[in-house]
Amino acid sequence: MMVLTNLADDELLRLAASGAEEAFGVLYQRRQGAVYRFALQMSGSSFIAEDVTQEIFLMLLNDSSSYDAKRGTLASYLYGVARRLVWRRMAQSRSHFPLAVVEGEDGRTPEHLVAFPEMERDLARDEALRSLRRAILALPAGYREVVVLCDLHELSYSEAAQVLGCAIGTVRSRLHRARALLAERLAVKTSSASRCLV
Amino acid sequence: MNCIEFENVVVAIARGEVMDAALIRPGLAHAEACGRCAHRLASEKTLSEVMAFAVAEDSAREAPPRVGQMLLGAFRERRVAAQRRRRTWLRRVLTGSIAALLVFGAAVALRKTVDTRAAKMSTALSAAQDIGADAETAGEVMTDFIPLVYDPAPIGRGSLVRVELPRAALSAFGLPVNEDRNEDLVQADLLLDDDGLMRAVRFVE
Repeated sequence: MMVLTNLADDELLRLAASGAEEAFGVLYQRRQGAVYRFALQMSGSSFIAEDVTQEIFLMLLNDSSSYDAKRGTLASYLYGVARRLVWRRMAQSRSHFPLAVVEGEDGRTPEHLVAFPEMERDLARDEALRSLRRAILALPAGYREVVVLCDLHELSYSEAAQVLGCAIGTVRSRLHRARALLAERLAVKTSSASRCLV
Repeated sequence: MNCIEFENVVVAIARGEVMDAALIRPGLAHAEACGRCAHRLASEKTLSEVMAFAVAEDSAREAPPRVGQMLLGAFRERRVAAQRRRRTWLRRVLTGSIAALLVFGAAVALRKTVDTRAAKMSTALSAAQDIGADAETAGEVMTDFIPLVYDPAPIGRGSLVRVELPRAALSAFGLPVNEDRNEDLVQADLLLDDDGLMRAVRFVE
C-alpha cells in the first residue's frame, strides 16, 4: 500500500484494470472526495452526489479504457464525466432544484451543508457561507460550473477549460461574470459578515 | 487606469492571481481614487474570503463509506467473473487443442496406412513385372499388370501363367473392347503367388 500511494493515477488505473483491488482502493480514496464535492456543490443534493460518485467509479471499473491519458489527466476526466452526470440527474429529477434543496422545510441550511460545529458558533461566517452556497446554486449552469471548478476546487483556467471543453478565455469571462453576480447577491447579506471575516 | 480597465483586473486582484505588477499597482491606485471601484474590489475580496472558508469547510467532505464498500464489492464480483471467464476460455482452448491433436494424429495414422498399402501394392506389382519380364518376347504388346486384390502382400516368389480369355474380359478391367470381336480370345498373363492365388493380370497382343 505504501508503494501504491506513490503511483500516478494512470498507473493505479492500469493495475486496477488488471485486478489489483488495493490499486483501485487507493485510486478511489484519492479521487472520490473531489468528485463527490463537485457533484454536491453543483447539485446541492447529497443523493445526487453519492449516485454520481458511485456511477463514475463503476464506469471506471467496467471500462477503464474510456479514459485516454493522452487527452488529459484522470482528475480532469472525472470532473468532465461528473459534470455530465450531474446535469443528467438534475434534468431527470426536477425535485432537486437547487434552492429547494439548500434550504430545509424550516428555511435553515440542511445539516450536510453545514459542517464543523465550532463554525456554527460564528453566526456571521455561517451566514456568509450559507448565502454563498445558496447564491452559487442559483447561478446559471454555465456560471455555476466555472465557480465550482475555479474557486471551490481551485483548478486553473486551463484545467477548467479542459473539463468544460471550451476556451480559456470563455472560462475567464464566465468566472468574471459569475463572481460579479455572486458579489452582488452577497453584498447586502455579507456586509456585516465580511467585517467579521477580515 | 479607468473603471472599464479596472473591471478587467478586479477578479484577478481579488483572487490573488499571479499577474503583472504593472497591472496591479494601477488597479489598486484606481480603486483608491474611485469609490465605486473600491466597493467593487471590496466585494470581490469578501467573496474570495468566503470562498476560501467554503473550500476549507468542504475539504473534509467525502462520499459516504457505503459508496466505497459497494464499489469494492463490485470490484471483487468483477474479478471473480473475469477469473471465471478466463477459466472457461482456458478450458475451451485446452479442449480445442486436444481435439486438434486427435484429428492430427488420426490424419497421420491414416496417411501412414495408405502409404503402407501403396508401398505394398507397388512392391507386388514391381515383383510381378520382374517375374513377367522373362516371359516377354519381342513383338508382343502388353498392358501393365493390373492388381486383382486390393492389398496384395509382397510377393517373394511366384509364377506367370499364360491363358486365353474372351475379349469381353477386357471390359471388366476398364479396357476398350470392340463389341464385334467379343467372341474372340485374347491372351493374358496371370501372376500367381506361392499359394496359387491370382495376384495380377496383364493382357498380351
